[in-house]
Amino acid sequence: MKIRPPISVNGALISAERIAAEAQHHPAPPRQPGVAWRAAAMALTMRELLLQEARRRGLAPAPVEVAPGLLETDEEALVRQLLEATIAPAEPDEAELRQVYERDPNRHRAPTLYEAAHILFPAPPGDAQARSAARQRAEAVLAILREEPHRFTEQARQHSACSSRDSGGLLGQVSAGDTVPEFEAALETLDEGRIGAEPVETRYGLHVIRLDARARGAVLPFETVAPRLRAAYEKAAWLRAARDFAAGLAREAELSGIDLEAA
Amino acid sequence: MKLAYLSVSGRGATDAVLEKAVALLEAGGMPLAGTVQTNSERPDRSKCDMDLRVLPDGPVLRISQDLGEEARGCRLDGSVLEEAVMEVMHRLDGAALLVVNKFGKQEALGRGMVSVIAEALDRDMPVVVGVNGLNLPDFLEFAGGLAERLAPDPLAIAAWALSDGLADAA
Repeated sequence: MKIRPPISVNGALISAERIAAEAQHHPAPPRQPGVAWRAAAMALTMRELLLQEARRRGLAPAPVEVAPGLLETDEEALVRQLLEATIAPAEPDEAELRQVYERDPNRHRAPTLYEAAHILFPAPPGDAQARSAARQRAEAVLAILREEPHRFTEQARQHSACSSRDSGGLLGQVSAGDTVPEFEAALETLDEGRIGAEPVETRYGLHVIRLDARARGAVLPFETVAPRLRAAYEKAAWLRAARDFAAGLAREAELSGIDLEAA
Repeated sequence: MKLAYLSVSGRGATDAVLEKAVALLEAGGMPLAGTVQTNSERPDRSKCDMDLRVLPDGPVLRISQDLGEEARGCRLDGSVLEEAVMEVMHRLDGAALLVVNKFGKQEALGRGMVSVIAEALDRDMPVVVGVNGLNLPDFLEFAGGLAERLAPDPLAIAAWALSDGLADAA
């Protein structure tokens, strides 16, 4: 077994045993111990950097009750107080948000509405055999529908594993978020009034899809989109600030025994 | 891919650790998505109620079914679990961390939160999952050997979630 040195964070040692305990190996499935080791080492280094910085700033732990009977430890309180005090993401101003919007207003549309029907041949994700069998069944049905598209309702009733089979596969109106992304992506590529030429694979299995109608959502005005843009900006700004904060702590620290750059 | 789990024995122990980690990170401003479970004891019942809080600002959903005073144990209301999945999915954009309080029976069958976990990993979002011993083999199979096991300590989770920035210092 590879002998690893302890990590030193400004002189405070994190022993190899502690890193090994953090990267608890488990018997199966086969894993890459080096990856777990490094992730654990990075997390322990981060933890040490946070606690040292909280103490360097002279923060006094003020634990709060997170939930009834659930009190923070002093160290948890210190890290919370440190994050509250130091991670200050930039606030967006209106002009910046407007710039983001105007770069491509087409990205900000009301959800497109689809009217669609489908026939589901179920197969669990990762089960190659079931997927292949479902594909064969879907292709057999598609072969019939290519010749006789009017038999869609009958074929849905006969073959579909979705409860929509009782209404001939009709899903009614579907908009963004109503189904899974891969199904929506397929709806987007279909021509109105047509049955998709190939079965579509989703996490549920294979689908034969007919798109009956599509109503593209209108471009939304800036005022409607602004709260969403602001929220997205703030989240991204927090992430940047947190990364910068962590990187700053690491840059100013004397670190040994850990290679921050290794992939 | 950054996927981690914690598995703590003892009733409610995993939930308590996750709840503390979430409270810490939320107070620090981290944009979170996912669910934490709160098991509230009810004076008029010998059993527990299980509530899921959808992060960060979502509803609190009661996932246990009230089966009456004579009932034994807690029962999951599957339709509410599916509702939770949709609520989490709608709040995934821009989150810095997805917290899934439990990889349970539904997830072992490829349902429930599995789609959300897959979506988050697709977007390079770190994911931390609570797993009980019973479902651990199914979780490890799902993770394909790529999940890290975290110590059952809120600070370990917080430090793990924040450690990405360290690489920028190199």
